[in-house]
Amino acid sequence: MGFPFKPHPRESTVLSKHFGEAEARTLDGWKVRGGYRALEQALGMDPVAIQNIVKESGLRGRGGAGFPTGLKWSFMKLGDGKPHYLCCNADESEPGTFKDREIMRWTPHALIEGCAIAAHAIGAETAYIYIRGEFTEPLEVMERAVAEARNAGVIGPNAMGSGKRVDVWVHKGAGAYICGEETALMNSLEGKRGNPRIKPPFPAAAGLFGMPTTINNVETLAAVPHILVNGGAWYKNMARADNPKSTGTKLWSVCGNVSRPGNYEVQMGFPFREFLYDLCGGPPRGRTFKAVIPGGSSVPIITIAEAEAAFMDYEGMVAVGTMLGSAGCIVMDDAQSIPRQVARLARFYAHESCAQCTQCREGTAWTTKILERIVAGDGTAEDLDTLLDLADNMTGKTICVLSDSCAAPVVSGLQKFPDEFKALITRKTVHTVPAIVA
Amino acid sequence: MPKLTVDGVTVTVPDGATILDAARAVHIDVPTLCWYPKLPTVGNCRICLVSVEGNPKLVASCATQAAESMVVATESLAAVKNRQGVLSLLLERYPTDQIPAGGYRNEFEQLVRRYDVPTDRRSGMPLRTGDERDNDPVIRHDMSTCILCTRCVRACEDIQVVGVLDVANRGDHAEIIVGADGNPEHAGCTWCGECVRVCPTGAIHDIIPMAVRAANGNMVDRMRSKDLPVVDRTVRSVCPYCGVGCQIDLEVRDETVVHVRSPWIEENTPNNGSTCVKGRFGTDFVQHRDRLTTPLIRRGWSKRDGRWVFDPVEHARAGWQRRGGPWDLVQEESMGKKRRPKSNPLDTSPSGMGSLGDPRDRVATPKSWYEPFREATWDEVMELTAQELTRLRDTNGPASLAVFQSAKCSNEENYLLQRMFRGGIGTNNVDHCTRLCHSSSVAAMQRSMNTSAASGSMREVETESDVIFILGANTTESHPVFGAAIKRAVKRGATLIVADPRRIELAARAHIHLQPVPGTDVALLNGMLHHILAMGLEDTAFIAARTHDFDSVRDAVKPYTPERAATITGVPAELIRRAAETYARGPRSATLWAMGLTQHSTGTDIVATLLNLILATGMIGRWGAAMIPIRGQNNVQGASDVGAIPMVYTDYQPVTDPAIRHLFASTWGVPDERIPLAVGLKVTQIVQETSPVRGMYIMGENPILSDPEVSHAEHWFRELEFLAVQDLFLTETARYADVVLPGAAFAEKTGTFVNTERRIQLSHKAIDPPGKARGDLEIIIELSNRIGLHTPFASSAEVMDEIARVTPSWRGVSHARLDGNGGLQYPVLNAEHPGTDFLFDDRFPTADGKARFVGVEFLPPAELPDEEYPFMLNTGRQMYHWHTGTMTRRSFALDAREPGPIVELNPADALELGVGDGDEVRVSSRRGEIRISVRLSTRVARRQVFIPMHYREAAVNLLTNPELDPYAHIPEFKVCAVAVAKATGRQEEARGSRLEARHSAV
Repeated sequence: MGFPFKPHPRESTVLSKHFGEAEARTLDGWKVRGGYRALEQALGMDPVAIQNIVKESGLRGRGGAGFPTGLKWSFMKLGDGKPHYLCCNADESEPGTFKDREIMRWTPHALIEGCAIAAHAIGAETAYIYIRGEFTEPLEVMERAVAEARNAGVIGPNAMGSGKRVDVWVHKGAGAYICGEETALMNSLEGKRGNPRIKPPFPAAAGLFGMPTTINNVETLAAVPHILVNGGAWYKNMARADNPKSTGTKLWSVCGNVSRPGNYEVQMGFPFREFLYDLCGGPPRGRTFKAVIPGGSSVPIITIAEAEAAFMDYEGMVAVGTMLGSAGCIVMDDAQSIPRQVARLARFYAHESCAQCTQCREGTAWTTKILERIVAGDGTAEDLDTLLDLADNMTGKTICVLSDSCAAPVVSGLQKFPDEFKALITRKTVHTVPAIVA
Repeated sequence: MPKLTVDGVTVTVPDGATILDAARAVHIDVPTLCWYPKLPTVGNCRICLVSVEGNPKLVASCATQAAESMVVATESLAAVKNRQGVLSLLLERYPTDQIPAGGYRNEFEQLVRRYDVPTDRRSGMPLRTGDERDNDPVIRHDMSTCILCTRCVRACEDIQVVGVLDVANRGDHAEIIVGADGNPEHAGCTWCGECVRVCPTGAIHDIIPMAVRAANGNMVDRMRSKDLPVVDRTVRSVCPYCGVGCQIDLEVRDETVVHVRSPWIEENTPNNGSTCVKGRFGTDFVQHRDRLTTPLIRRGWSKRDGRWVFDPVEHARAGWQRRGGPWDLVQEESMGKKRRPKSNPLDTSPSGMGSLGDPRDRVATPKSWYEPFREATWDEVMELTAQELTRLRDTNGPASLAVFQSAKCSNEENYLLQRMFRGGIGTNNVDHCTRLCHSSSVAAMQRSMNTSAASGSMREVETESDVIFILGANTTESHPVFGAAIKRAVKRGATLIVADPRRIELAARAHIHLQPVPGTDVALLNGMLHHILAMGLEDTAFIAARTHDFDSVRDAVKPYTPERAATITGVPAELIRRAAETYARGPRSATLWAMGLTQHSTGTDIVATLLNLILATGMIGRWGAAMIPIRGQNNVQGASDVGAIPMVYTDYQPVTDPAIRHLFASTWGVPDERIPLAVGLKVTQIVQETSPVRGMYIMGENPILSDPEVSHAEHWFRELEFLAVQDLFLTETARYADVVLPGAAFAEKTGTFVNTERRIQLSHKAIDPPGKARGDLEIIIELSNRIGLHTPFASSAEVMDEIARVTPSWRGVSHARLDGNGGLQYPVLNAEHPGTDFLFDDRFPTADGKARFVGVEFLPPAELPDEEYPFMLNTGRQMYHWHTGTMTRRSFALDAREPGPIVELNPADALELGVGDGDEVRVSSRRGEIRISVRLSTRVARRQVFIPMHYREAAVNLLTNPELDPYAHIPEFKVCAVAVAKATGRQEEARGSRLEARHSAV
């Protein structure tokens, strides 16, 4: 568990090992901790060899989709004569997620090193770190670290004396959730309105400035140096015995009604039940868990029963009808009103819709309107049908998945906690908090 | 070439085609809202989603590439359900109560009906909002009906390359905005109306400027086009303004052209259906109350003993001298107080029509101008005109008569009129305003390549050229639709080199802007060629195989090192070198020019130097390497092509050749001797004290404002024995006429026009001429017959058949072939020939097939600034007006945008002169003086001023220098020396104190 607390003994600290150590933020401090050994090693390697190690490790995208990283890199056609770009998605805006923030705050050089290795592996000379506009402190830390690395020749026209050029630039977003969507991020980087683009073409074919581009999450890139130093097999072994598809460690941001919220780094396949009760310390005193949104606000809500049976990896989450997502774990206890929480989420998506697609622009706003009406005790039975209708309209039909993300908690909330909605409608009353059980 | 099945129909489409393309190819109508042909695909409306077998999700047909053996269902249950979902979501914020019962008003409502979507709004979400244009003269918004398809945004950005509109905010607050502050003027709007054209709901619509009968039968003043009930008919026409030759659709209701619509974007038209502000909003002059509706005869003419005689006493009884009238001479009026607003009030107040009033009330023809005339019958005017023309021919000889034809009239009309004067009168004194525009280009091109028109097409410049070199052409204002194509080419990646003394819009977008001192183009181009030869970048193979006399050029350019050229032109040598190299390296460089090169006393020389550059680098005769003199008027090319110039018959066949004369004389049924073998007089030679011309016939021209040294021209026309004018309005010239014959506007007749790329297009008659006005062809036919030339034509199609017979390169042209398509680019050698999109791929039309180099020395302009007249005056056109303003100043929208004359003055000069924006100044030259208000502009360099030519009340041609080019006899409109001084008056005194503040703001 992150600074200022000590990690829980059951955590496997790889990425979070140096959280809280101010010295790790500096170049020298980072080198003392073994930093930039991986980069040095990588710059002497063939890009394809790096890709293969990452493929072997089984590393998958930590931004939410879980796409195999090595495979993604191998889509970049090396030697096609075009400039390639690496984008690091540091626009961590998913409600409930705050892991990338800590990586950048405490181990900026880990990210720079990962970016540089990845850039080399995909034949890019330029990497952009697109950082969320609200991340003022991480931005400062990152910029300082990049300047330090550049001045020391770690990155730049002759990175670590290898004769290879690797430039890393930090670009600050302006506060739009949608710019965390990879193609919107590219538009934003290009100075355009951050609207997601139609895919195909995929970024590997035509991304930033129309050139082949790979875009990776902060946590993904930060893991790369460790994989290079310790080997793919080492990383691959950190997995559930019966599920080799999810490997390595994963940072979980836990918030909501738990005793010890924060960032936890555990191996893939960790039992969710133990995680919630042992590591996070269970519900606040006198309360019981009711529901969990395990992967950031975009994934379906699950009941606590479902959560307790789950394993914390990509497949384990799918097995209980939700997704790992960005591992922003929002925990709700019995005092929470699900309709109210869902309404709050919908409101967020309505506010953040880029307004391109009809279903999203109008659907998120209408959904919010209905949910807020229900929460206020003014809902009708018909509203619930409309909500499901709208959700159906909003799922799988738009350019990006923002509208799906809005629909997911609505549908799952309605499915799993229908009584709460119905109660608000029939009794025309606001949610009542049950008494604390002694 | 994937083969797929769409709704059970198998279709093969080109690689890269989308599912939507495939569906459209087999006429399956997939509904679309955000998608529009030729606009970038954004796929945001999500209504075109279709089912593809094996794909669990619906896919956007507009954005998904068709793949081999794909099986597509466009109306699957899921697809239809999604469409209903999309439509119902859009309807939630749409004023559904306005949808007429049982009907629909636009594309969107059509789809609502097609998919049977209930129109009751359930969500209670507010109607959409956005930037409105409440007081705009023509373009209005009603953003409650906006569905945010963003077609308008892309049309503005990607077709017109202006970028006025965008989407602001996000989520349900997203809305269309006009620039950053809602002011279209600030955002660079040119009122082209592209947004109006693409809008699927009428959220962006235009105003019909004239009174129209509404659905309820009432006459409504200035109606919204979206409220216009069904029109009676739509007629394809060709825009009457510039040489781009845009096709437009005229919508007719109650025998009135009420609205202009764009042809569908995928139709084969030179403009892809785009227009500029003039084409879309500037055609209401047709309905203007100033239109002449009855023939007029000057008082004093009466019929005695079967003959018409002029009684000067009777005429003078009203107090007027010979040809006089109750009006001020142009010079007097130009010195007078300007009753109109001094500068565009929309500049300061985007919502201010109020101070302007209705431009239609600012009638351009004063009532008093009609006083010297009486209304007459057609028989009277025909009889009188025929009598006087034949009398002058028989007493003073045919050379005492001359005709000014019209670049605004059709080929057929121009052909018949020169036929009347050549065959009926027996004179070659036949000319038109080409003399004042591209005659020097034609002279130079004839000498070098024996050609008189563009070698290539506009679309190759847009899609193929690597380098575009534009000289002396303010394309984005004078030929806006072509200007937009050039901007699209630059967006595509073409390199743009602009040579222009003013920093025009294209110059600001150019990679290289050469800003020479006006009139020094020969030195500039020689300097470029010098550097090309020095670098060895010339195309030696082309020079050897396709040209001769290259040595003359090699010698001529030798002294013009870039440094010397820099000294003469004021363009840095480094820039000259860069431009030269860029142009020569191409690989395909297009060369475009207009009046900036030609209207000089050395105009032919200047164009000849440019041709040397083209030939030396071999930038001609290949697709993408086009040579295009951009033609100014809609039919200046055609009028020249059909022989409305003094030295040639149709197709530039010389009048001096007896065999050719025989061909024409026999076709017209007149003896050969009737037509002189000598070349006739040109416009600028006719209007001279020494000219033998005593009687004139003028069709659709206004030489009193368009000729240089207006005072002289005005005086000359008054001294004529007989003057007949055929026009739409009582122009500055027509007021001096003996006989005024009311003709027909473009919308009132059928005929063909030739655009700047040799494209012959057919324009159809939409309505009848007003009152007793007649079609021009009809007038000419009757007059020809009355003077004894047998003229048996019943329609313009028949005239075209005769033109085709005597014109080798038009042999395959007929109205039937031109109907309903994009026209034909001549040469069209026979009835099957498809036309020619570019020329000279293997030979030039000279005797030996080779082009000739003509080395040229630099000569300075005839009149240069000195102490007395320290400024250099440049003249030209504005975006919103046209030539002498006869049409545009009678257009509601155009006149509202530019209500009065202005002089562009550099702020630094203005500061020295002590004048500010909007102040009046006196601009004088050795020939005249005008009072005009200042528009501060950094477009003009220091010590240069620019005055547009459109305004009678500040006629710039009072000042211009009538010095002529020795070959083409084109006057030096572009350079003369003037003095600028603050006009004194109490008003100006009061303004003085505010001057400093204004200057610091500029």
